[in-house]
Amino acid sequence: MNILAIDTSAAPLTIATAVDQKIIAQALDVGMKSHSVKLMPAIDTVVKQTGFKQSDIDRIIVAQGPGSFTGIRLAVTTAKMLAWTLDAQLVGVSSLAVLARNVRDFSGCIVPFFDARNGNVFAGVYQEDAAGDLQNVLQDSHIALLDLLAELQKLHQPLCFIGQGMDVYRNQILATYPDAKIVEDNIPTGQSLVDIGFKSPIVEDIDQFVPEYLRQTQAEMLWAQKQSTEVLKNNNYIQDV
Amino acid sequence: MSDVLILAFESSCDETSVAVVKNGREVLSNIIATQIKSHQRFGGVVPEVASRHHVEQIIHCTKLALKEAQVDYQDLAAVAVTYGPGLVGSLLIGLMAAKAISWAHDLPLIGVNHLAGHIYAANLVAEIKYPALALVVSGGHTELVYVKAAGEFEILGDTRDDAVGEAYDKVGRMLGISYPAGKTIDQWAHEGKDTYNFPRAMLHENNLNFSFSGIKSAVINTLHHAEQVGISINKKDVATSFQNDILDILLAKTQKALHKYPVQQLIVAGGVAANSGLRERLQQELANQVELIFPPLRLCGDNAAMIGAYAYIKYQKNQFASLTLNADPSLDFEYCNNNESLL
Ligand SMILES: [Zn+2]
Repeated sequence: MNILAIDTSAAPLTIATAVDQKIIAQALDVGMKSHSVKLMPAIDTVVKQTGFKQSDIDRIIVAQGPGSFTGIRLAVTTAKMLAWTLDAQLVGVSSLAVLARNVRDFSGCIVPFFDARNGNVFAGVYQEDAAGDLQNVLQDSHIALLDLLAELQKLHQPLCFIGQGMDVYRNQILATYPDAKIVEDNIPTGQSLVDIGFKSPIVEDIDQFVPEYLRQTQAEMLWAQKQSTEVLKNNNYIQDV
Repeated sequence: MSDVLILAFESSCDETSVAVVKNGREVLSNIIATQIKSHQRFGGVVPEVASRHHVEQIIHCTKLALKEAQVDYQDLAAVAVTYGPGLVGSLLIGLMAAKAISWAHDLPLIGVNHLAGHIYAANLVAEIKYPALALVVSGGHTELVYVKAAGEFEILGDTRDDAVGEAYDKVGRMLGISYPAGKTIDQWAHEGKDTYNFPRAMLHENNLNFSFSGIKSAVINTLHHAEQVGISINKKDVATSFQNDILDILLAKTQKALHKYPVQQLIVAGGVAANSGLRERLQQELANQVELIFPPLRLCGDNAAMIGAYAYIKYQKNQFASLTLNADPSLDFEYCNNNESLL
């Protein structure tokens, strides 16, 4: 199976091609230029390096979020459009799971996270099973770091935190878990993307595929607080005219 | 020469639209999904919400556009997309979708200025004769544009503050009209009387620029004052007074522009071009001196057919974009530099 994998959920950009789980070519870009400029040219370069024609792509794996709202929209829009127009399979994977997959040979719980400002993080908890596959232990969520640290206590497992901007959180983490392993890394590798996406379910309705924001917009949150449950049931907001 | 079919994307604000246009003149399909009902919850367009809706709608619209036009990728000559001006998060969705289709099927990509699209909606109903003058009026723009030749634009004048559509929405909010307010104000304006005589800003100034923040303040003051002294307000009279004020300014500046830049055609473009009061006034006062082109209502608001119409001009000039094309939220035309001296 010929695979194209895409991740622009945080600052780095990762594009990879693989045949089954074997990576053929990849582009990792941590430069400052925006994903909206780099994404499609990077896909073009990597796919052509691989020797694939566009129509050779059988499956597109995309990091669906959480992450930067704009970043996950760029990748998801590109991936769903490509999958639909090339008649390829589409697979969405958690961008936190991809980050967790960067940690290998750790038997405890892996806690990948992205900074979500104001003391909040996007985080999940993952653990390798006996077969070496990553299993989700605690669902990805938007959570205050202090609440996350409290939750983790119930797991009674050695912990490995992975993410970027650790300087902000290192002391807080170590104050609660002095033995925790801390990995300063936020580059999703092509191998991590493909390993997870190869074994994940295929999206059935590409049309309805959207990013996992894990956070409502401020405007919708404030609006919802003032509405009756009757009003909230209606979510028919788009009309073809 | 064989027909040139362009698949066009538009997502600069709160409409997701995909169209197929033939030779820049004929609409084969023009699918528009509007988010108005969603943004009505907030009293205006919320950019993050708009971006999210675009992702939900983009395939649905593309699918329908191809189906309705009964074309396949091999029938297409190019893929066009609005890359500005507009809301950056919204623009990016159409842009990514267009790039994906362009790359997947080896089709050339054309980046289109949204304002050029509004003006070239005219080509879908008549043939533009150059030079032409365009009055672009919408929620984001109020511009007099000189169209020297195909694809050559110069701004003669624009707004110093609010866009005209923005003034309608703000005044609408004060009158308790839900967003977008243009249609209701237009209707009320036909039912009330001009009793307030609000100030006509910049009317006699020797330039082609507009200002609409003054009239907005005048309406606020009138309403506040009435509330304080306890007199009731006839909202329809306020609407009539407000609309008359706006139309007087638009007409006066357009007249002035026509005087300095004689053209055969006046193109009225943008969402506010749907205003019936504006259409009536232009007909009455200008129809005898210039050919008026009003695109039908569906082509006045944001839509992808107009993007396909202008893309055809760039296609003929071989003006293609690369896959690095980025959204440019403040994209604009050049200003006419000998404008002031001519007046
Ligand atoms: Zn517009």
